[in-house]
Amino acid sequence: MEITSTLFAAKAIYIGLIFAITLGVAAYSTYGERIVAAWMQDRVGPDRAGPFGIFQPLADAVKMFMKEDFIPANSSKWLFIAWPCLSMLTALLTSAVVPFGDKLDLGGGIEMDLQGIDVNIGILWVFGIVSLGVYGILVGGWASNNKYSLLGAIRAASQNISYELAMGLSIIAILMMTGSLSTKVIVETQQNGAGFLSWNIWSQPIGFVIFIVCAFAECNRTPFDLPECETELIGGYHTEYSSMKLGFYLFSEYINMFVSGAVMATLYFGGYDYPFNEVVEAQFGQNIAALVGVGALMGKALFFVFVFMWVRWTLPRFRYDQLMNLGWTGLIPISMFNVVWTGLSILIPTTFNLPAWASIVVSWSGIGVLLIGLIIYHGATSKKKTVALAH
Amino acid sequence: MNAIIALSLSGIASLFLGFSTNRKNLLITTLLFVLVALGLNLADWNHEYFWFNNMLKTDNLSINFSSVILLSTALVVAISRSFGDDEEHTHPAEYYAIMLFAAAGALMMVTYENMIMLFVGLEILSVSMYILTGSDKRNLRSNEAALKYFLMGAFATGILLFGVALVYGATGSFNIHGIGEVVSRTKKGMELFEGGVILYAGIILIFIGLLFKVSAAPFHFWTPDVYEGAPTIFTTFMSTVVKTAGVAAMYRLLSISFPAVYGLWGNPLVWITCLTLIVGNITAVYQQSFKRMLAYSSISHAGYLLITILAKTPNTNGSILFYSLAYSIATISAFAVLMIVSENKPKDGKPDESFEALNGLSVNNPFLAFVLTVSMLSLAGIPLTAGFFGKFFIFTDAFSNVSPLFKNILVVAILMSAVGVYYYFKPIIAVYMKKGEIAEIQLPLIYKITLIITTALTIILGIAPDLVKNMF
Amino acid sequence: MNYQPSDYLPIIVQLGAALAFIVLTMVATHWLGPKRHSSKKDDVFECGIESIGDARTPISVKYFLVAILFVLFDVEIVFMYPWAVNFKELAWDGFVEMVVFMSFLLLGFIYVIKKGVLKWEK
Repeated sequence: MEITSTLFAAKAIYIGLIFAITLGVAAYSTYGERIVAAWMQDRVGPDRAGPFGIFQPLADAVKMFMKEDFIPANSSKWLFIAWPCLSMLTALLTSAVVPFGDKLDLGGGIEMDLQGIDVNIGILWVFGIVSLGVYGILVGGWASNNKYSLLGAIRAASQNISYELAMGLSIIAILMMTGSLSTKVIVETQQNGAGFLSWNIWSQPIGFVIFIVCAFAECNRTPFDLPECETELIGGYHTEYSSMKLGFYLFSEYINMFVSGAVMATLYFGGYDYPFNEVVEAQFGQNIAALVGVGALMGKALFFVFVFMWVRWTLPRFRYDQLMNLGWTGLIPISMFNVVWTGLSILIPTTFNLPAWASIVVSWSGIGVLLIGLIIYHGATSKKKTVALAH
Repeated sequence: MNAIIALSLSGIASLFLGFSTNRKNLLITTLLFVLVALGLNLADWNHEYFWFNNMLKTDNLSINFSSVILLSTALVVAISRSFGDDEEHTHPAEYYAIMLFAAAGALMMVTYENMIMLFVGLEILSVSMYILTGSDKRNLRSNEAALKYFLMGAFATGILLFGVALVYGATGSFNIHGIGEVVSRTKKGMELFEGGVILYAGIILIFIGLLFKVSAAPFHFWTPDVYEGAPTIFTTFMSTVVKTAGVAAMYRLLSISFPAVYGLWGNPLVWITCLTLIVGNITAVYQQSFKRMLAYSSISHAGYLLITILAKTPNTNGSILFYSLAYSIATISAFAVLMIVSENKPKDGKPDESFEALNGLSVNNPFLAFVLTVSMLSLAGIPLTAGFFGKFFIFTDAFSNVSPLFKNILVVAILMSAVGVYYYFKPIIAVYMKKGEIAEIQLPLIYKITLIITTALTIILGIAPDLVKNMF
Repeated sequence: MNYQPSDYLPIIVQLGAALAFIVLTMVATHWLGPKRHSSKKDDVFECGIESIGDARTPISVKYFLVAILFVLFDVEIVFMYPWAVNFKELAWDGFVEMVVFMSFLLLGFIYVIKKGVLKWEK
């Protein structure tokens, strides 16, 4: 699609809007986090700043700005300043390829995708940018020249790279089903057919579970928040940080939560697709349908943000060896199995001319096969352990 | 190339065998793997096959080279018993596996049809060798050697890759036959066709990469340190398998792709050959350490091998193979004797690798003394050994080539052979003339068999070279 | 669907916006906050105990092993992306080939696990 100047201006406005929304959502996620925490622990939560405390994030931001911009004497000054910025930059750039909505008719025959860039590398962009984010934490922690920061930083780095493997493998299964790296195409393939029944979640249950676990680990959220494990490492990699540099680290975490929620919605829950969107489009026109789609995606993404908070107050933190074991010996083999099984679930129905739902049956039977395999494996290893103990 | 597949799979298998079995079984299984690969390799005899989407091509020449490589690997594996007996080397399976992988890389280097495979094979071989060089982890020498080898080798490979890119730019092909076609077609009528400069630069850069591997002067500076620092068993591997593979790769490239532009690469190669012969032989004279002397001698043998590449006669195939074989088996038995003697006679807690370590070997160990003598005579090129006929064929080739430049090279080579006789007799003198105390060394059976095989081969090839020469 | 290099143009807008936001924020917070220095305060914070030495010390080799393994496996996973995108055209042939590839990957993986590279308790 040729980019005309009108379209470019519209895109610029759209990107500015998404930018504002991302920042706003991230800001209010901090508020939401505290409200959810209060609700789950039967407390009141923030209620002073404005009605129901809804100005709390503004107050927090002002406080952050007014704090001293502290730089320890022994630190590497430029790295210390630059790397929180990198963290923030990567967090802000990921949302570019997420399709927030369908085409918008701008009049005059110009149609605009509600998506920053629709390119054929789509999901690879997300990966590239997310893995850059590791540097933000790693170098930031190292630059502080503080032992706790260093520990937090290398923990964060090795955790992130470990879970990136399983994440990459779980996405391969999605790519096999859609045959394209473009996020837009991934959403469109989920739109065809029977409403929300054609969402990828139905054929990718294992993949989704792996992906969400990895998303938790990539965002350094509980139960994977070892990089900032207060009981062991003071503040982890951001021990020495203050003012908006600390703010950037915290903020980028919330932005990452929101974006990973949006990515999960795109990959597994139909993106901006919603039931009866054909009806809405026929009744109210293309633009309204697209805007409702934006609402649908936001709703899904925010739901995942809620899940992030929910899990935080439900699960305790892992021990470090448990975390690495889960990543390497748990998720990677399972996601490899998922890739193979997805291949079967695509190929078997096409070779034997079975109806479309057969593929879903095959993929769900994968869970059964996996469980049986795990039970057998577990039985074998635990028998070995008991034998070893008996001797 | 079924042998490559077999070697790769057996490498993985031996990694896993390391979990369950001891090193003695590992040695035998690895030997078996190599012999299986040798069998598979010979099974392609007299068939010209393209493999893996025209990436590799086997013909009788490449099968011969592969056989020399696999035979050397088998012999090296057979004498590897004593490496890593101490607790610091608790990963014998890994070393065997890496050796198998390295052999697979070497096979790729002699059968490649596509320049990419040359690079891939070279990398597989080199990376394996970097690791094996540093495998004596507590030894500073070994670490230093590994780092030196890695840094220089990585640069050399990078330069080679750049050369490949330039040749591709000049000819538009990665396929060596394709390159040869383009070069000979465009050559007609003009000495330097369009893109000739690029081609020339590309050939020179590829030269640098490959000459580094065969340790020809002036790219030989890593050789003495690396050969001395690496555990002797891997030095043996390096000076036989890697050298053969490097020379074969170079010969394949030059004889298939660039015979039409002989003038372009012939001249620099003549100078490099002369330099290699002089540097290798003259410096070897001054060495006190037997191992280091062998390192310089391997440089000089690279020089002799380069003469055959230059000679470009119909006999070249045969003489280059015969020389590689003769050199490889003689070197293996020399290193084998050095290894077992020096380990038996530690000095300051480390194996003593100087000439003095050999003093008086003949008194209690006449067998080892005889093996060493035969291998030294063969390396020096004394008649009745394989080395003599190796040199003989090479000089004949060079002589039959009419180019006057080769006459000069011949003079240098003959002079340097005379110098070689001097330093190759040093260990023989130490063994028979000097006084020293070496108790009788108990040789394991497999070690004995290997030494008998190498010595017998050296003598048989020295008496009846046509047995093998006609096969090639 | 035709993709063109100009599809990437809006990313410049996003990059510009993000950079502007970051730079403005950093300048503002530097300008707004107070600045008071003292030798004690400028030290690193290690729970009030005087800090000994530098934090630029060698760390456990396990982290490096994890990093190397990540590079290895990530490269192998990247090899699978083009395959996955063309999976439906390649059908069973591609499937079998990739199963072979994956079994090699898995063998390497089992080897690493068995070798105890990822054992953190040791």
